[in-house]
Amino acid sequence: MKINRINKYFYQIVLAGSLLLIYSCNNILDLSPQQSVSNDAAVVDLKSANAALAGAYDKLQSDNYYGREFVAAIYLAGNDVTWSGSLNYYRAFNDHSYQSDNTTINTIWYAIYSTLNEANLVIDKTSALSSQVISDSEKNRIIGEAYFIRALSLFDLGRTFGNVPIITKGTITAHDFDGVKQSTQADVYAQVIKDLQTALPLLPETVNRNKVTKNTVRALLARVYLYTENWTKAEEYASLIIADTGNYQLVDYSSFFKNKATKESIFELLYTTSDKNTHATYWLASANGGRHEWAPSENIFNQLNDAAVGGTRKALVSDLSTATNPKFYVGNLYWRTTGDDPAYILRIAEQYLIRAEARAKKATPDLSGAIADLNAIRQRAQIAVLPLTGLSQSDVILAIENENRIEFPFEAHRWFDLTRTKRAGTVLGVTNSQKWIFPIPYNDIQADKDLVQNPSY
Amino acid sequence: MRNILHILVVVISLLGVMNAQGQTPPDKNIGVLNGTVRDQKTGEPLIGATIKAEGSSLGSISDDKGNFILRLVSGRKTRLAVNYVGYKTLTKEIIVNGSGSTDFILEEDALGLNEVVVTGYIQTKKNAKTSAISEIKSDQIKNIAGAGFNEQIQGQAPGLLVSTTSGTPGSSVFVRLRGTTSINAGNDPLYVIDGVPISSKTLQTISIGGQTTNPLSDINPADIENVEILKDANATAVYGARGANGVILITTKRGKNNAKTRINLDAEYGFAKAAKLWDLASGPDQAEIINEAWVNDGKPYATRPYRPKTEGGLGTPDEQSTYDRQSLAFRAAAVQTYNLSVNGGDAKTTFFIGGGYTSQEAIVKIQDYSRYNFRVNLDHKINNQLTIGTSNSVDYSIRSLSRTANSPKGILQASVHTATLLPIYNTDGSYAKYGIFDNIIALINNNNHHSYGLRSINNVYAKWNILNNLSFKSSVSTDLNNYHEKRYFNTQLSDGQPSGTATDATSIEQTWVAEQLVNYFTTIHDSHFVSLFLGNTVQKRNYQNETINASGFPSDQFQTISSAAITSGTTSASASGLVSYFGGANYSFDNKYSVDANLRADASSRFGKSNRWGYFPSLGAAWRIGQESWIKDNFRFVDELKAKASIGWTGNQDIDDFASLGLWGGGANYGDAAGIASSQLSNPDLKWETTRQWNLGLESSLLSNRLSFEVNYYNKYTYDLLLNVPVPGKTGYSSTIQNIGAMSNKGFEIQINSTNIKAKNFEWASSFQISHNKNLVEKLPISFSQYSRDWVRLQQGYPMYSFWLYKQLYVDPQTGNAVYQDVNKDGKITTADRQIVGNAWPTFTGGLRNTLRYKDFDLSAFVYFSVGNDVFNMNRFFQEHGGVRGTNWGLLKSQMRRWQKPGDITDIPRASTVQNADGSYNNDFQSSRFLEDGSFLRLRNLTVGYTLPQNLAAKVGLTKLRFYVSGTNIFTITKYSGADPEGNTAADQTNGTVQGLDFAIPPQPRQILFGANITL
Repeated sequence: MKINRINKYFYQIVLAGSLLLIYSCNNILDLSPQQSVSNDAAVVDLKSANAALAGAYDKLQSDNYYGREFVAAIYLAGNDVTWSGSLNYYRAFNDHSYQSDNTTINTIWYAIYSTLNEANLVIDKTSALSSQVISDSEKNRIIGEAYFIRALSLFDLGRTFGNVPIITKGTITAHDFDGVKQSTQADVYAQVIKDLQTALPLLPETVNRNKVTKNTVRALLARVYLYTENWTKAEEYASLIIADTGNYQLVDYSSFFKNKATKESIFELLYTTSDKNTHATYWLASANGGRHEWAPSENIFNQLNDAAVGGTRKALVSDLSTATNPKFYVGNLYWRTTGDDPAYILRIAEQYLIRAEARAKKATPDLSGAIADLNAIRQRAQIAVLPLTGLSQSDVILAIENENRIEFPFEAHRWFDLTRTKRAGTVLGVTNSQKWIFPIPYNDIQADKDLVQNPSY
Repeated sequence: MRNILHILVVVISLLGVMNAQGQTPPDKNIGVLNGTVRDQKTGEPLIGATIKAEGSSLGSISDDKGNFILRLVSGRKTRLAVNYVGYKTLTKEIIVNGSGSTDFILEEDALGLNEVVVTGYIQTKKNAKTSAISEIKSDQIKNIAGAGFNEQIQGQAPGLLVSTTSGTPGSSVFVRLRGTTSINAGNDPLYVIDGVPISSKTLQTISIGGQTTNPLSDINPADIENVEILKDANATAVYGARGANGVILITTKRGKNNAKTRINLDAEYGFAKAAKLWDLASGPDQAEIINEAWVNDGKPYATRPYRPKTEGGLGTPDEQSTYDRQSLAFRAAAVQTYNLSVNGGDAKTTFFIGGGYTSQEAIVKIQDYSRYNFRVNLDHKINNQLTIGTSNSVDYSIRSLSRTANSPKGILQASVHTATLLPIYNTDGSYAKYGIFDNIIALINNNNHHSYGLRSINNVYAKWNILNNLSFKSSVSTDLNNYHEKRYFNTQLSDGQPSGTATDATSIEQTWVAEQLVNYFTTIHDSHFVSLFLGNTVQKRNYQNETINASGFPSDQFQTISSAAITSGTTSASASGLVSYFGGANYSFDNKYSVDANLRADASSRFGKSNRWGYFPSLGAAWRIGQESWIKDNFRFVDELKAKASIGWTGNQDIDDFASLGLWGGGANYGDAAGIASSQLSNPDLKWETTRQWNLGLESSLLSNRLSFEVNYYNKYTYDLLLNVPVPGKTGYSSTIQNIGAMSNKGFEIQINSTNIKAKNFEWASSFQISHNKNLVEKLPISFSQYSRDWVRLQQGYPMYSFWLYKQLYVDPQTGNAVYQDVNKDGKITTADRQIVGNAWPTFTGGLRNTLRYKDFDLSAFVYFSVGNDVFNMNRFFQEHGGVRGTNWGLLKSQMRRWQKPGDITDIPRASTVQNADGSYNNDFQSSRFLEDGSFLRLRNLTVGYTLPQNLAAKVGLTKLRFYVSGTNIFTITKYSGADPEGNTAADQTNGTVQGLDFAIPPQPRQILFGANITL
């Protein structure tokens, strides 16, 4: 081939190639994400609204919320679970020495607000859908479920941190809520009740233990009214669930956690082997794939194994001690190595104890009614029932407090019960009542100029 | 690139000479001169050297044996000039009467100051460079053990900070050039190999406890000819959006025109062993501390855990056994490397073909690394004007991995952190497992985690020399990287419960780059040199990952995912594009003054349309003071003295793809319902992070170039930081990426090279370099922390990698309690009392190399040092727990120095687990007690070699034969109490925002290698 011919060809090829590249420049710069969609295009019809709602449930079940961290902080603070592992920031809950830089307090805070935001976005975006793309009943159901998730998030924020900002709109930009200051715990609870009452008429009457229906809302209302000491309402809503014996029953104690979605359960979050709950990993012994980050305290272990106190509830604990590894206790509530343990949020047993407490504390106490509810729980645990008469009001209230302890040692209950009844000083020795609410995370105090740290931190 | 130019120059000069020969009219008085042109040092013949008679058109070229025949005018004194690229021109006067014979011995021109050289895109005269550029020759690093060249360049160039954060071959290496310019955007320099910008991001997706792979270990260090390090803005601005962190140019070996075909074989075999491990407390020690904490916590002595068995206890401390797990986990590791290459070339074509294999066991059992490399570099001249060429490498790496560092189920914590008083086996012979740890023997016998990396880096170019000094080059490059990870845990392992778990992940990253470049240079009236260039690149990167998780295997024999009962999969994908135009001009006058200017414009797909384009200019000037007559005349010993200055702006766009968009992502499933959730707040204003840098430098060579030095001072200021800024938590987000904040890096660099002795039989040369960098976060509206327990904090007025701790003042000799500084003086120790105590930055780093040759023996010694860097010894944080972590978690021997009785003076408080009155804790607190000075000095390498004399080598048919023994990391002098002051457990933190956290990291081993270099 002649030299200048090669040069000519080369020149032509390069020219053609360059033109092609310039043409393709826009293709190179205008890329769109393959696994995400833009904010505006996210919720456009029934299907995508349902998907967004599933996203809100997903936040509720995240590791840092009901998946583990939130629940763990509360039962560790309740002192019946003892830190025994590697992550020392859990110990702060045992001895109530938490400070604002505590890793768990930080992660809980953000996880709950993230859930709250997701619920708000579902409400905002689903409300904006036209009737051509979604029926009214589906729209109401989705919005109702989202209102419940928002209410639960706000309630958990309020009872954990006390004074928190109330947010009722989905976030679009980082500075949407500049200027929104903290509300008092009472205002937060008022908003929770308002949201739950909004949700109630929007939801169907069906029973679904993994999703929010009317009964789920009623059960949470009973609890919130108990926290706000509205005894009549608490009794009223608890009674609605207890009366529905076809759907809700006190099952054999260990069967509610050995199986899934039993009649015990009013609301439990669903996990699968591919969408895992990591909670068990923190309980199990190393030999079973866990990290044994915490364990039942010696005290609760003995209580549960006391036939007069724990009864069948001793199934919650095991003793794996060896000669060199004494007092090696393991909890059994979260046990599936396959990662599909549910997260228990509302159980029928709680409704009995709510009603018992409401009956015992209301203006004209109904002590025998309270004891009857308490005995339902004791009978189920196969321990001796209490006499319906002869006990003083304070005896009954104490008996309910103790029953709550034995019934829910590994769920997020005792700490909240003792702080709302102002008994945490007496029972747990946390005499500084300002420590009954956790500090606002140091990181957010830095990032949010509207926040004021809780006293004592 | 430089080689290509060499080839061109040779070829052009050849053609000129040939033409000249053709035109010479026959002369009646012809004299003939013959002889050989040889290299002064090796004595090897030089092929293609030109021999030219001055003032005439007579000339000749040496043939493939170095021989030449030159026709001259007989009997007339003729001045001959002998030229060969890369060698000093030799001139000699000669008279030939009829016929004669003479040999020309050429001396290599190491400096080559008048050469026109190419650095990246820019052509300049070597002596006119205005930039701060360091060069590392392969000779300097070839004997330093290490899987990746980026480990080997530690201490070889000033301004370059390299830290090998783990002793596992092929794992993460920390590299920073002139400090850290960014917080959340990338901080790695840009690596360009033979003109291909390559990815330096790991594709590892399965966590192994904080350690990652070193993607640059895919490149065979033996293929590397030299490494150039572009540091100042004038050198890097032409890389625009990717230049802010400096640029490292790697040139691989190529053949030479008209060179004899050479076959090189290098073989190396040796061993590696930990120089230092951890000094652990014994079983009795641990029992004693547990008992002591029991009593100190106010519990009754009578019920202390380790009391006589007769009293219902576990036996007294003295009765406890000690089980050594460390020696079970570590070993003497075998290391071997073989490289075979062939190179050569004729007048038109040059080639380099190489293959290599390395196999490196880690000192930690189970881990190892092996790699197969293949390379073909080829250049061919089609005709006078057209050259084509290609550089290709294919590398296949195999890793056996196990978890170390921050992984409680990993082998390091199983061996070092499990308490020594606990038996390894249960009484029934099964593996005993305690606390969060797995069993060391179970891990060694059953761990099954491998990865397979296949990487191919390819470049094809065509260069058209339109005129002698005007060229157009077009190239297409690809970097294809495929990383396949397979992990299986059987039921013997804690993570394999209840019936085996497995993960199989494949990641693919593909980058292609097309580049067009026009280069022109000319010399006007001998004294004005002008070069210009103009170019364009288009780049696209695609990434995808597929991961399958499986559990529920029928038995331990079945390990493939197809046999699992439960499988689930996920995929991810992303893409980015970059379009760039760049150009520059360089002018030098009279070989004394030079100025240059460059500009690059980049558009990135990562930013919103309105902020897509970034413009990055630079300016440089140099003055060769040494060429001025007042220096030349008065200071004869000065060969070169040059002052230079530059300023420029470079960018950073190394953030997540699509970071500016408000997004919802999938995968937020609940039960069987597919879910979506908001994942990112929109920020349409997101734009480039920009670094402004100026540089002042002085370089000189003295005493016939025997002593040379270079000093640079630089000042970098980075603004519009691409930062994950904390946002109010009430938004549902903890942070979003925004352009906020500023950071500075200021420092100086000194490099000194000296030829101390140069005699026939003895040569001694030294080079020393030292650098200092001061990093400072200049502007940051909100302080925030990194890593769990908030160890590291970013705060305005402090450098990055600052440790945020409670400052322990002393241990009260009366009570034995630690006393911490009460910063806000409220009588309590709270979060408000945490403060920045130190940082991981060294004040100085540097290296000293000495090379000696005595007759046929050679010796080189290289010392590296780092001064002033703090290390947070997390092993001590966990293992001086004073009883807090109970029996399962072992103790370091240093725990035994704790306070025991009033009057004891020590920095380790009494064993206790309860809170002190002021709210602090004695043990297990984010205390400055664990922060140590990590300064060290290390004999990185000592090599002794012997080269067989040439005549002996020739007798056995070899051109060259050299044997050597090489030791790496021979000793380390440091006050640091851990195993390795360079260890960092947080190598997997995105963009390396956490440094100096040493936690269960295998130390860099001491290695001894025996090797041979054979050239046929």
